[in-house]
Amino acid sequence: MSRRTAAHRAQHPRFTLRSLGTSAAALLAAIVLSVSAAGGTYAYLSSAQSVTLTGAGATTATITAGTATLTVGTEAITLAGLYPGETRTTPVAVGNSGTTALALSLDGITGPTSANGLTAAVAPGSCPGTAPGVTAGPLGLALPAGATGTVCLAIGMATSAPAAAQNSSSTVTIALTGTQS
Amino acid sequence: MTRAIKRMPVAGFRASVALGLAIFLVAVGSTAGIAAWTASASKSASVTSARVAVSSTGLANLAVVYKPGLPGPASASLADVATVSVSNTGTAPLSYSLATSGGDSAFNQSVTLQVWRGTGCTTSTAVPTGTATGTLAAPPALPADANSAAAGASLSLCMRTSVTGPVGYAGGGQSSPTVSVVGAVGDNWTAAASAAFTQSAGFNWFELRHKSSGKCLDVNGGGTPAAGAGIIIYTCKSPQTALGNQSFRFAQDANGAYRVYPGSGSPANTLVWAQTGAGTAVRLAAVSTADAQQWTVVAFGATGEYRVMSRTGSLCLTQSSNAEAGAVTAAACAANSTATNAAYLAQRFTFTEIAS
Repeated sequence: MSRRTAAHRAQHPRFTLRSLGTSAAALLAAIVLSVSAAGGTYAYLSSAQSVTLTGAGATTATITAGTATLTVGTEAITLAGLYPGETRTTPVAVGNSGTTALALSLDGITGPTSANGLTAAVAPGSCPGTAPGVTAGPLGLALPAGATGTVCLAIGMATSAPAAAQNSSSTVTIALTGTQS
Repeated sequence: MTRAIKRMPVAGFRASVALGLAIFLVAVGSTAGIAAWTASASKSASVTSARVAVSSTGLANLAVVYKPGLPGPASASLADVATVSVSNTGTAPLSYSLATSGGDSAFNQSVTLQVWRGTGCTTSTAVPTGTATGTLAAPPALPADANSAAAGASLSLCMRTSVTGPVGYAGGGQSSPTVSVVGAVGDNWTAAASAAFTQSAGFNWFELRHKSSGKCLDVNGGGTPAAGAGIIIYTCKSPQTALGNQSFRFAQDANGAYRVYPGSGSPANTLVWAQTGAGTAVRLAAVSTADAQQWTVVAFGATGEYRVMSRTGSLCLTQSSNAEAGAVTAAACAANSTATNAAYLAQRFTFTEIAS
């Protein structure tokens, strides 16, 4: 082998089995680290799946995921004879019948319009609410699993309610969401 | 001197690149994606709004004919009082106020309106101290104990209208305003109970019966009177009518004396009694400021009997013969002495108000 050929090899070494193995090992380590470090993706499923282990000491186990269930009182709320400038409050029972704590928020209120002159807000706690009512957003009320609570629904009529709003019927609906906390 | 450069082995370089890639992937991939459970529920409320309505009774009883009266023969009727019931027949509490519209604005402004809470009101019912005063053009605010009512509640009000006389008494004018009790809640919900009525400034028309003869003072000739027509006694008509030729009204002048106008077909006659001296006949003359056209009514004789005296002196309306169509003259007033005195008998009259 000439000196020129040897020098060329020194500048452009060929891939060796050893170098490839080293690179593969590093890449594998990187993947393992990535997977193990990328925790924090939580998925809670409310379905159940039985798993059967076979062989010696075989047994059957059931793994049940937790649940998140928000309930509201079933009592009818009827407000009759509301007039401009008047606000009435009524407590609404809420319950967490699931297995994880929930933080309550108000998604929104439907029903009040300029035509019927109605206003509505929800505050945490019994009526009268201990905090100013909100029309959307967090209520600042946490319900542990299995716990019940109360929110205060305030429905009023603006003094500027139009005359045509007299003697009419409306439905005011509040939408609540409990988020796992 | 030459510095030797030590090269990293190729395999080590590749391992370093792989390790760097791994760190990058770890850094990028370790960002946590958290999905929390949620649960939703909704609750509805059924809301029915109220309605406003007001009813009232008695407002129309404010219809009245104001009359100035004539001291002695007839009292003045310069006020009217009505008991007005107001009910909140809606389902919302209401605040109340009064409103008026229509009618003759000048007349409305001359009529005082007062309102207070009460029942069984009459013209003799005392107006409570502090009662606000307005007019039919600008009604007063309702008192604090009557300016609101719960749904379904009723309250009773006394409403008093009045005019003053003789300065404020226009005589012959009238107005037909509408008075409303307005109930309101909020900016836009209102209901009203209203009634229209007519108020007018009328006259007291009188039949003057000559006590001695039992005949009535009469504009000679009847029909539309003319200046110079004499005043006579004549058999009384029955029934008398306000605009007949045996009907007279007494209009008070600022000096307190009266001009006497005949009904004779029109309340707007401009002829009045006039005397031209003792012993002369009393005749109709065009109204003027002359003292000879001014008279006073003075009690004379028994209760309910009067004589009519000229303002200018001691002349009284006199009729001595008792004959049908006998002229009435101005003569020296007799002493109020004995019932048999001829002059005394000739100057006595009774006044009977004629319905109008």
